[in-house]
Amino acid sequence: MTIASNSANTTSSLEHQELGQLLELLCEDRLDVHQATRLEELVLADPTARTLYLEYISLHGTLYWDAARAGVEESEVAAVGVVTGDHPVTSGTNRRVPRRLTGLAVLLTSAAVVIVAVGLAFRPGSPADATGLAGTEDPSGFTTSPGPGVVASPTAVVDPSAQQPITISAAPGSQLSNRVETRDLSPGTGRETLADPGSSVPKSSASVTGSGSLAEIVGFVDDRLEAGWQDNEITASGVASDSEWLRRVCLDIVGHIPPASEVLAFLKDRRLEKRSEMIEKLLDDSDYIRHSTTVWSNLLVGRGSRQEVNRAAFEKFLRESFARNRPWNEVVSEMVSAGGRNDENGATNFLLAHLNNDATPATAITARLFLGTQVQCTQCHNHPFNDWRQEQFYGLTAFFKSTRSERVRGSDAFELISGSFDVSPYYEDRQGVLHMASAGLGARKVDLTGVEDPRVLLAKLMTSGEDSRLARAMVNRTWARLLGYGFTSPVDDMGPHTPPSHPEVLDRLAREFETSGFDVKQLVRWICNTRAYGLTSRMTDGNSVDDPATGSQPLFSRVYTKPMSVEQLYDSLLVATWADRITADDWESVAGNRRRWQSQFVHSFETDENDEAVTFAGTITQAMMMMNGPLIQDALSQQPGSYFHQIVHSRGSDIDRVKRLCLSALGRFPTSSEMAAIQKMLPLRPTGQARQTPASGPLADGLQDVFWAYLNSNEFVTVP
Amino acid sequence: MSDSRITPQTIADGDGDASARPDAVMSSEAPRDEFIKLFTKFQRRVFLFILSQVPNPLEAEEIHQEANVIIWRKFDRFELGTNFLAWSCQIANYEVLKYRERKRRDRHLFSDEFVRQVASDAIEQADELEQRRHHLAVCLTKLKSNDLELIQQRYSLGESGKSVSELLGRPINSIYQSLSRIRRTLLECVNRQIRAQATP
Repeated sequence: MTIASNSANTTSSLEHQELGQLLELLCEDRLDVHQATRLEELVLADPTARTLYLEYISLHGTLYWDAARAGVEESEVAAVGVVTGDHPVTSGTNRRVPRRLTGLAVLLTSAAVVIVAVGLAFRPGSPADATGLAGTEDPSGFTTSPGPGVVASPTAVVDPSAQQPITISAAPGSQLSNRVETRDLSPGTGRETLADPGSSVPKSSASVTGSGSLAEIVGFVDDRLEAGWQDNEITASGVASDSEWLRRVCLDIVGHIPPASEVLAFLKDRRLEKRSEMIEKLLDDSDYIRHSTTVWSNLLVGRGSRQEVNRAAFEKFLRESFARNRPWNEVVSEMVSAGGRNDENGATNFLLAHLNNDATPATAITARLFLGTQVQCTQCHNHPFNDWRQEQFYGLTAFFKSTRSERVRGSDAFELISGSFDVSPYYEDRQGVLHMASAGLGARKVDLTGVEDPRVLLAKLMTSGEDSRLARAMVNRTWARLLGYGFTSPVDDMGPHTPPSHPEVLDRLAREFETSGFDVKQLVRWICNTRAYGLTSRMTDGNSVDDPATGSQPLFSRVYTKPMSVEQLYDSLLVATWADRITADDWESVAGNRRRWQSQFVHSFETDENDEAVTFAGTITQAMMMMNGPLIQDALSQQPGSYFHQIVHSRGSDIDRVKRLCLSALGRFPTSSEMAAIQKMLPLRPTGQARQTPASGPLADGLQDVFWAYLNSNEFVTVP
Repeated sequence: MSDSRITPQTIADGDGDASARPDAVMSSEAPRDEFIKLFTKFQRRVFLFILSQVPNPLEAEEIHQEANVIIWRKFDRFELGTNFLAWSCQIANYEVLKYRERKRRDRHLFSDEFVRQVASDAIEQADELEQRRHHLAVCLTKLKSNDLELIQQRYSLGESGKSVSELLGRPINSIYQSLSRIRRTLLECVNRQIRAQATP
């Protein structure tokens, strides 16, 4: 800048030259911090530089906006394949894939087949005729014909193997991110070909620590799991593609799929740290709080409504707990010992939901959720296989005996009232003999005589760390929520008769969780950073024995797919379609729409036991709701505000429109065979024309069909 | 500079429909059609406006989509006949700020001052920049076929210079050099066209 005063002309041309170079770097996203600062300096100093900047950006942006995209040819599909892995869904190769789908997948698959078959036939006002779909309505064709042609598109979308997320390991060189990962493999990890970004990254950025560092804990888990693979002579599945992984981690942590823009940015990011950074970003997202609240309120008080339960107040309690990341033992302690009005103290609602029937349900659910112990059956008899005896069930009930609920006069509110302990519970054994139970937790007996509030004592016994079951139960449940199976099955039955699959991993994580101060986010962070969590859910020939759905113990050599919960599905539909934004003007009505829609849905799935096996596995209600429900109609309508409308009116080729629909629904680009089928089916226009005019008529109807099919695919309702 | 500012007349020429009164907006289809027309017409310019402040096209597009949602939601508050671009840019500007706020912790490319300055310049020069687009179309046709192909590949969805280099198996630096050369050629070509037009 000092030269500037000497000879303005030369300087300005020199500076423009420098500016030109910087602008070039900017266009290719190669500008580093110093260069960016320099660019700012130049631009701010001089109005002509500012004009040059704007001209350059305008050129760059216009090219991006409407530079001819080479159109529809295979070359473009291939280029896209670089990102997705070129997985020919309808070609012969997928037949190699072991068809030993989990029971769940089979269920989902058949549900999806029903959805498509029924949907194509009954979808009101289906514009199928216009797109030529109707010409070949051979019902069997939808499920079995792998052949190309008109039928191939719906088939491609719901083919069972399409549900298997696309793996990258089998296709060397077809996956950009794969190549990057391989190239960036840090030396000396001793791992074979595929560096797992999930597990190798934290080792270098182990800044977030509990007692053991993130890297240490993750490394321990990785080693143990790998030892298990070797012992069982299996090979783990490959690393999940970025699309698959991102969809999984978003659904797991924030409860909905990533928006298309997020997927694109993630795919574009070539840095090795991007996965662990994404985990951090999601843990900081407010939807983490929302999702955790949903998961736990469903577990703790169920989806149904009881008059004693003030759901709003309870959710507020959970929301605040997760927002502040309160220690889990503290949260549990507060719920177990809570007292007062259910609208003023949200924590009371947990017990209020379960106090009926002499607090038997309260006993059972407390043992199940917080201690990972199923004691229901010992209400009536000693457990046949373990040392849980009738006495212990009643010993636990004793803490709840003196607690009752009362309606607050002149109000809808209920109050949770603790009395002091009066008399020990009696129970009848199978021989008809009456016994008196002494209060206690497991083997630990306590004398409750004269104790003011027995539940306060119970809370202390449970959460003080003396009993490790609280930590173990939470670790097991969180692990299961993320990887699809826990160390034991069922996840909340961790008694002596169900030895965990990986005791040392469970022990270590439980210990670390305890030492971290029952830090729930930390636990999620550890698990999400493991190598296992970064694997594809796709089975290979090398690990087809690892299939817990058949009853064997999980080896975690792949991630087991999960069905979406009702809430995940709803929120994901909104993310994919923006359906909530069509009719609503303000956020209040957006929220109202969501509650209304969800309530009709939840009603269909509600159970009394808050049973978590009840999710969403392809019931008729779900199918009908998905196919014909007003939400889906809204989502597909061409009303302004919807994603679909946005796509129809976007600039870009028709192929881009298809790609964006797929990206929004499934978080990936269409496979080349899907694309080929769609190209045959839809009257796609020349690129030039497509860029100038919004899609309309048969084309818009066809795009609608494509979007509908993607949203109704089993791939959509699965957490990969 | 103020001469070049876009006026309601320049925007609404041909579009100004006297019958379209704001208070009749919800009851009639015509204003909505009118709005859609304007909306579609100015999509790219709003995008460019955002891109000048957030120079990564993907991020800009994300913001643009957010802005579009708001624009649609406020559709009945727009008075036909007034400056649609200015109105949209105001909304877009707000979305840019929100986005920057959200990304505050991430690497931040440009300072607030820079973004403010550039945004105000971008509005002032909107018309000139729009002119350049037509010339660019002409200039593209003048490119050598190899160059045209390369630039098309570079700008197709999700591509970058890097992925083009991998796709074509050409060294990355040679791709960068080619792209740089082509973009400069285009820029100069556009400038020539503008000068030619200015001095008939």
